[in-house]
Amino acid sequence: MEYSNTISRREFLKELGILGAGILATTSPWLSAFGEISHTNNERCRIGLIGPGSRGQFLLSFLKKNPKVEIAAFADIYQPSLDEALKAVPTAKAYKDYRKLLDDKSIDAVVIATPLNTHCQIALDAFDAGKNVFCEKTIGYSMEDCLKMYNKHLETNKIFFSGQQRLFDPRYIKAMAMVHDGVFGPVNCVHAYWNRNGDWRRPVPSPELERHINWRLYKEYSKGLMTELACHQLQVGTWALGKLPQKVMGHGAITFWKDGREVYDNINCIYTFDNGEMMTWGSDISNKFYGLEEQILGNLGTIEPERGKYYFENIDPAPAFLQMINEWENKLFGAMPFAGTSWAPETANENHGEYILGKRPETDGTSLNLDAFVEAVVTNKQPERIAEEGYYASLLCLLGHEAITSGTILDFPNEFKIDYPSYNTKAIKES
Amino acid sequence: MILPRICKKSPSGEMIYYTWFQAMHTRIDVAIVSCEAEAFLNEASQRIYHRILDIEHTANCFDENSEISIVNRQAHLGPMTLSDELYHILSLCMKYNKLTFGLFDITTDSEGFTRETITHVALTDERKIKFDIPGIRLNLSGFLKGYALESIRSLLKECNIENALINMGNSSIMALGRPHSTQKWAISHHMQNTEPIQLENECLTTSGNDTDTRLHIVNPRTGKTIEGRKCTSLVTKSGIEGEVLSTALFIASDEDEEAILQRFHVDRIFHLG
Repeated sequence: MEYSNTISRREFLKELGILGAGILATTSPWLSAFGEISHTNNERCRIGLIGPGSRGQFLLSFLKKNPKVEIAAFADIYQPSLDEALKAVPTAKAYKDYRKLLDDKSIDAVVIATPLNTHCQIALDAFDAGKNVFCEKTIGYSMEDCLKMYNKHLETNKIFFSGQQRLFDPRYIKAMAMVHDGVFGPVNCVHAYWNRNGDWRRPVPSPELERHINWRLYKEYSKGLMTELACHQLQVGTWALGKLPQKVMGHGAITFWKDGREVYDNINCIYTFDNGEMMTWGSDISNKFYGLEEQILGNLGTIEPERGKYYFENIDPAPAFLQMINEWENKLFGAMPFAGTSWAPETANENHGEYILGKRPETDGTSLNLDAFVEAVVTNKQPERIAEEGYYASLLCLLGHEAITSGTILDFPNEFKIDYPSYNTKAIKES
Repeated sequence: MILPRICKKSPSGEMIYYTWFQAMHTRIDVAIVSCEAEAFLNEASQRIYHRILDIEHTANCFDENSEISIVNRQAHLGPMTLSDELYHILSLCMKYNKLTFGLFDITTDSEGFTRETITHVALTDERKIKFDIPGIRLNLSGFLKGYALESIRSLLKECNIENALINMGNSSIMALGRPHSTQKWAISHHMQNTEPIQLENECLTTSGNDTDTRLHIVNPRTGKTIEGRKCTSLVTKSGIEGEVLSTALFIASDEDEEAILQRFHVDRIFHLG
């Protein structure tokens, strides 16, 4: 799927197959970002990228493809990252101090891809400087940071997105529409995991740069796997369940990579909900066999959105009938090729499931997430619920981390609840 | 049981509603096109599901606790009183045996089967059955899907649902109304590249062998299974007649076929393979 100025909401919806605008508006309201996309072809968005390291350059690769984007400047304290970024966009300005970038009044928006502990101050400064903000997840190093950032977004009325690309991944959007439509029955459990086999280290040119380059491994900068990986998957769980957990418990350890790191390499958390539903999140970076997945379990079926598949508990829907439903909107029914001799259970195939989008997944939503941010900036319209999803996803990670480090079962703290109808939460106002 | 379902609404408010489940030793797909609310269609599909379970409980010989299985085990010991439904089903089967010159026969699974075996099944007006000899086993597999289709037709009529496609294990398909005003239901055969078969208030029924090894249809005249990868499909108004005739015509010689077709109305017939 190519994303350029030719993209239209219609094409995006086509990718989503059977979904209509109604179901999308309820299950993924932030897609309203693409509502005016065809009227903004002449608009431009000048972006400053703060932190063009590996993740920042990955984001840059998509931003460069968007003809509405002009990359105006980079900021990073690490010169090799700046040099690399300037190779990609030689016309951009480069700063060691992000505040200089923020001083540039011609810049409309910033993308923040710096170490976690720096997100909050940069974002607050950016909002104060009148910039719209796209911040990589987890958005803040602490729950207090996250709330400050969210409130600053409300106060300044500036656009606020986070790097929760699954919110824009067609297979996740369609999967959630099916879940919310009850196709798989009530969801009782979500098992999410992200396993790798590697030390998670990056090469360090000189020893004094160790903590700077490998910041993910040190408590001062990051909370490790919980803040760098869990954020995506915990959001998928609450998206499926349509509510926040009430309690969190967990355990973490440095089990295998005893190399001086300060963050866990082996984690498991359990989040419990009001009706007894549970969401588990685990990560072990000494074994990659099961990789990553969010298994959404309903009493009628299972979705594995990362794999892009769903499975029914008993028998699969018939492909010919699914095809007919997919063609329903166009009223162009082809012949249904299923007539023949008797189907019997012993002749059925093994349950290999069906692809959510009818084919193997091709994209992860990062590009669409950034495109949506650009559209929001040029139209100056914050899409519904996008900032709130990013906020709560971050809080779930940080709360899990706190449960692990404190060794206690934590209640979801009321003081960090915000007004959010999707999860039926309200901010507690100070009297 | 909550049935899985997928539905989609058109801009005009018409909905296509699809549910599927496994029963009667096969898969069942139900697609309904309607302007009714989803909750109403949920209720309709639940009624279909429970009706199928009732039929299964009565007449599925693969279920050892079904009424037919009990009959198979005990009817040689003395007369047994049947439920209204099983009596009705068996009466129809005996009638169709005669109308197909014995080519539709529900006793071919019996021990020591011959074409005379069915004459040892005694049905009386008092709703009783008795086997005159031991070893008789009634197998309604070649009848039940068509019977279930007609039962579903009645239920859908009660619900005022006019447009639906019901698939019983791919071999027995009932198309009611149309999916869209400009189109009939179009079904093609997965075994051969034939033209799509257009259906409206009709049934498409297939009997045959989909492989060279999965042979299950016995010729009552010889007592042997029909060999070879081939099948017979036909389009009829009635699901029951489609079921009976697809089996009989799969077995029939050209002469038998001509004679049988004198007695029934078959809209289209396809011999494949």
